[in-house]
Amino acid sequence: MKVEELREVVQWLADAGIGVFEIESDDCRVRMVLQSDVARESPVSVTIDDGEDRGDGVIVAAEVPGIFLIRHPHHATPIVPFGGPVRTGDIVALVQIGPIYAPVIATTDGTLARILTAPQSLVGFGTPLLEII
Amino acid sequence: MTRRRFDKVLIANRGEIALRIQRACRLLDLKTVVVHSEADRNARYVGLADEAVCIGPAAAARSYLNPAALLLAAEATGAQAIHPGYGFLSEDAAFAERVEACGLVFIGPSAASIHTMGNKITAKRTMQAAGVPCVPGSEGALPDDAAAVGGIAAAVGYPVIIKAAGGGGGRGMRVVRCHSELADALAITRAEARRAFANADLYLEKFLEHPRHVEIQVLCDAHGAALWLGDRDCSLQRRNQKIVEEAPAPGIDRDLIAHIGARCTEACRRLGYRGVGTFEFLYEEGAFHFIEMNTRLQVEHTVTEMTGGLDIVQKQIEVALGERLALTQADVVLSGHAIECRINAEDPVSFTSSAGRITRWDLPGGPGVRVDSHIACGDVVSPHYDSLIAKLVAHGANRQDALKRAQTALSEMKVEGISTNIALHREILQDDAFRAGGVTIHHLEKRLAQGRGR
Repeated sequence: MKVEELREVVQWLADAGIGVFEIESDDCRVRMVLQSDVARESPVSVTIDDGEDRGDGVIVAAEVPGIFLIRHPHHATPIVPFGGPVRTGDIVALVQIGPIYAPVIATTDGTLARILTAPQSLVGFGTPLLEII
Repeated sequence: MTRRRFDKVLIANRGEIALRIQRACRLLDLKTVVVHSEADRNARYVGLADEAVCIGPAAAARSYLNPAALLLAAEATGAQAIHPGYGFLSEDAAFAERVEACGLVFIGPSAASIHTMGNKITAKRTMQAAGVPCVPGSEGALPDDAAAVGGIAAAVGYPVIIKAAGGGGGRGMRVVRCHSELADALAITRAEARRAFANADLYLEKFLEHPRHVEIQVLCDAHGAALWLGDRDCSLQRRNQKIVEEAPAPGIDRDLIAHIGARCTEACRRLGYRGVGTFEFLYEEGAFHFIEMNTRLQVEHTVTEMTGGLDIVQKQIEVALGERLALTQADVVLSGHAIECRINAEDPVSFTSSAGRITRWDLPGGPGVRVDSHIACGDVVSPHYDSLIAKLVAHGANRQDALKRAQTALSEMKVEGISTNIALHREILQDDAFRAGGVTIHHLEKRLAQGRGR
């Protein structure tokens, strides 16, 4: 990947309010963390009213359109195992946008209680992904 | 078969036009991606798309007006082209440039064309060079010196209108009736232009007192072919918002319109314009005066489709695919008359938008009647967006027939749960002056003012 391309991708993501992401191409893999002045205000968490009881969990939702992943394609195991502990700010899943991996960040401490969207499916802004209890 | 430039289109818009574009894509066997805000998640047209993806919250600034969110959605879904529709980012040259820089196809003209026509001073200069008649006025931008502007205004003759180069669509303009009003009007308009359009350039034109709004639809391919597809009269307006449009413009010499159409296509060839576009004119005392060009699909393209028999959105996408126009100007034959009523969700008295759940949605039908709408019964009309909920189009063998069909259609259309302007349309179609044809752009507002005075 050329530096100019990287610069362009970084600008897009900054414009879209994404603070941390990973980019992959044939010959390299780059993880970027933007300073908070260009990053988004806060992670997206939503309240869902579809009649289903979700207990007291916190729903973590997608912030950008892309393919929902619970494990990195290069890793055999999920980023967080089902029922495993998470802390606020942890990367708990990924949303893949072409060569870019945007992290899904835990908005609370707890354990990963449920996966609300099928991995490998297309998600968009606000799609409920995971529940942390 | 050779590989097409794209086979999946991302529709970067909402409402009726997002559905209209989907229909054209289906005709061309193109896959569709509809992006939507959280407020539009449950819209009918969203469910009809091959793929749908939410790009942000209800506020347009963070969804439909967010270039980064749109480009990420295109990347995530593998769409290779973006159709901007109308409004939102459709005439944003920087967005068009960014789309192309990402290796995607922008279904519209080049960023350079959008930029040229977006600046009303360069647009006018381009039109004059192509022999398109313009309103008499200043040569280029006005000087800073008010005395010098006074000389220009006197030469043009009062009343004059001062306009912002970055304005358009009725924004950023002020009428000056005599010399004593000039200095203040200049200062205020310049300050507004700097603030609203980030461009303090102004120009001045003769103010036409009783014009009609008549426009010419063009279609151009990327290989130098340019056609004009017909004319429309959009004089029925309220606060520069079109309410009723019709094609062709009644009572205007067809030879004169053909001459103007030919000048418009000549301007397109000189500009290297591609895609669809509309040249807007003021028409007064038998003469056309160019005011601006819209470098996108328009709401009222439907009346030209009904009279010309072409699917304009299909043609727009075909030329974006790089195809050559198989038509010549001789193939463009107009037949009959068409009238479009824009059905808005709005209060009939205050004209403020009326949001809420639609509890009854009875649509008209029959020969020559077309309704373009994204709405289904039970839908919630969001307060976040434009109030257009349907376009009712009636076509007939002549204007009389079209009017009758439109009236019948309006009598069949029933909407409950929200307020609409259907009753206003019924009144307009019974108005003697409108029925006679050729009312000015001030007619509707005058009539509404008289109605309030009763």
